[in-house]
Amino acid sequence: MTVPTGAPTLRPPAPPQAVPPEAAPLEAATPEAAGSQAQLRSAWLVDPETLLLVEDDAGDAVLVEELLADSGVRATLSWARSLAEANEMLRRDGIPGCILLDLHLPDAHGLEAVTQVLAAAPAAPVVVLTGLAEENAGLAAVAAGAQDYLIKGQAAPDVFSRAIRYAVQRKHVEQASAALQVSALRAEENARLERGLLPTPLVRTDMIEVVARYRPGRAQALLGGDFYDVVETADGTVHAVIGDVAGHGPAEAATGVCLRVAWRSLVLAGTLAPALIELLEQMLVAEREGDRVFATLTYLAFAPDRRSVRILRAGHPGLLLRVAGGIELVEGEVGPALGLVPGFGWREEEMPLPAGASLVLFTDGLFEGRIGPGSERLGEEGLLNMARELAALPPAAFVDRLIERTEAATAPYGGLADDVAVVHLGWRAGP
Amino acid sequence: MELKVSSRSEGDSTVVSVSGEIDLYTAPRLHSELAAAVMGGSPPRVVVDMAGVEFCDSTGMNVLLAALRRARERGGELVLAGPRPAVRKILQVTGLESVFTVLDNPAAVAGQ
Repeated sequence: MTVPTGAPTLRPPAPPQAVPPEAAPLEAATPEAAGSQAQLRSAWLVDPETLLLVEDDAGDAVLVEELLADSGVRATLSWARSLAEANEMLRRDGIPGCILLDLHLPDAHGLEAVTQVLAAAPAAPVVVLTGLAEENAGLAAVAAGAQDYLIKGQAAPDVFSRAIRYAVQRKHVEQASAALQVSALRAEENARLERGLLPTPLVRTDMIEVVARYRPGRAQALLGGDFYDVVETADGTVHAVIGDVAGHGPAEAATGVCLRVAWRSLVLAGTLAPALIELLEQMLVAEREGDRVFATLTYLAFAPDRRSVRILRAGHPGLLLRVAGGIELVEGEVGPALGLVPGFGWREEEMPLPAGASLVLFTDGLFEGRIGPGSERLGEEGLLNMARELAALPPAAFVDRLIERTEAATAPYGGLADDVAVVHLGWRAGP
Repeated sequence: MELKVSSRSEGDSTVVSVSGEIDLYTAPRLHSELAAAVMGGSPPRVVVDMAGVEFCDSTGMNVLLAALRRARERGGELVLAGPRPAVRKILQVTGLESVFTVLDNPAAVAGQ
C-alpha cells in the first residue's frame, strides 16, 4: 500500500510477531475488565467475532492489530496479504464479521479491490483503509458498496471501534431492507396473480353455496398455476371449473389466469362443452411459453333443476361426492390434459345428483404431500379416508379442516410443497 | 428423498435410469440429464428407465414431455419403461400415457 511518506505512525515493515505469515487467527487483547467487557457486549450485540484484514504492508497490519487491541472490539483478526489470499481464506474460513480492506494491494487497486471483495463476500461489511491524502478514495469506496473508511495513522481506537460497529450495523440494515423489498415485490406479484386466479363466483342464485380455498405452496410462497371459477348462466345452469397448470412460478400462474378468464368468457358467451374445452386448449397452445406446458382441469355444469351434473375431466384428479354423511371419490372417464393431444375429443359424463349432494373439487397439491420418511404420499385414498372422518361438518368447516389435516399429516415430512385449491359446491336446503 | 439419474449407452440407445422422486425440487436435474440425452445420437433414441421412480408430480411430467418433444423434433424417440403403479396412474389420469410410448419391462428395452 502507499502511505504518504513521513507518516509519523508508520513503522518499519519488520514481520510482526503477533501476526503470523499464515494468518492464523489471533485473539486481540482487551484493556477492559471482564465485567465491563460483558456489559459492552450486551450493549453491542452486533460486535463481529472475526475480522479479516486485507493488507500487504506488515507494518500497517501491526497498527491495525494495536488499534483493535485498544478499541474494545473483541474480535479474532486474520490477515491476508493480497486479494488472492483473502479469497482463499474466504473460501476456507467462510465470511468474517467485517473486512478491513487496503486499497493498494499487489493484485487489486482502488475501487477494483472493493468490487472484487464485495463479489467474493457480498454479505460482509467492508471498511476501507486509505492513506492521508486519499479521503476521496474512501468516499468513492463507500459509494461503491463499502460501509465506511478509515484514514491510516489518523484513526484513534474509539474511531476504529465505531467504524467497525457501524459498518456491521449498516450492512445488517442494508440486507434486511433488501430482503424486505424482495418479499414485498413478491407479495405484490402474488396478490395480483391471485386476484386473477381466484375470482369471486359469479352466481345470481343464493341457493348455491360455494366455499373456495387457496393455499400457496411452501416453496418461497410462490404461486403455482392452480385456478378455479364458478359462473351461473342465464338458463340457471351453474358452471364450475378447477384447473392446474403444470409447473410453478409466475409464468404458470399467468397462464392459469389466462385460462380462467377465457373459461369465464366462453361460458358467459354460451359456449358448451366439449367445444368450450377445445377452445381453451387452443388458447393454451397459443399463450403458453414454450411448447411443453400442459394444464389439467375438471369442468362441472349443474343442471338448473339441480338433479344432475355434467362432468368433464381433462387430465385432472377425481372429485369428492358428499351425500348424507357419506363421501365417495368420483373418478369415471378422463381425457388427456390440455396441450398434450391437440384436438382430442373430450366427452362429458352426466351424473345424477341425489338431494342434498355436494361436490368437492381439488388440485393434486392436496394429496401429493409426503406422509412418511420414505416416498409414501397421502394419495387420493388417504385423502378420502381423511374426508370421511370430517363428513358431518358444514361446507366451510369441512374444507378448512380437510386442508389443515393434510397439512398436519405432511408437516413432519416437508409439508405441502405444491399449491392447493379446493372448491366445495353445494345447494342450500330450500323449497 | 433424493433423485438419482444416470445415463449409459446400449446399442444405439441411451438408457437414462431414474430413481427416487421427481418433483418441483428435483425436476431441474432430470431436465438437464434428459436434455443431454436427446441431444446425443442422430436421431436420438432415449429410454427412460422409470422402475426406480417412486413419485412423479406434474412438474416432473412436464420435464419428460419436454424431452419427448425435443427427441421427436430431432427425428428420434423417447420411451418410458417400467413405471410403478403410482406413476402409471398419473400417466393415465393426465393422458400422458397416450402421448408417450410406455413399456412395461425396462429389461425388454436393452438392445432394442
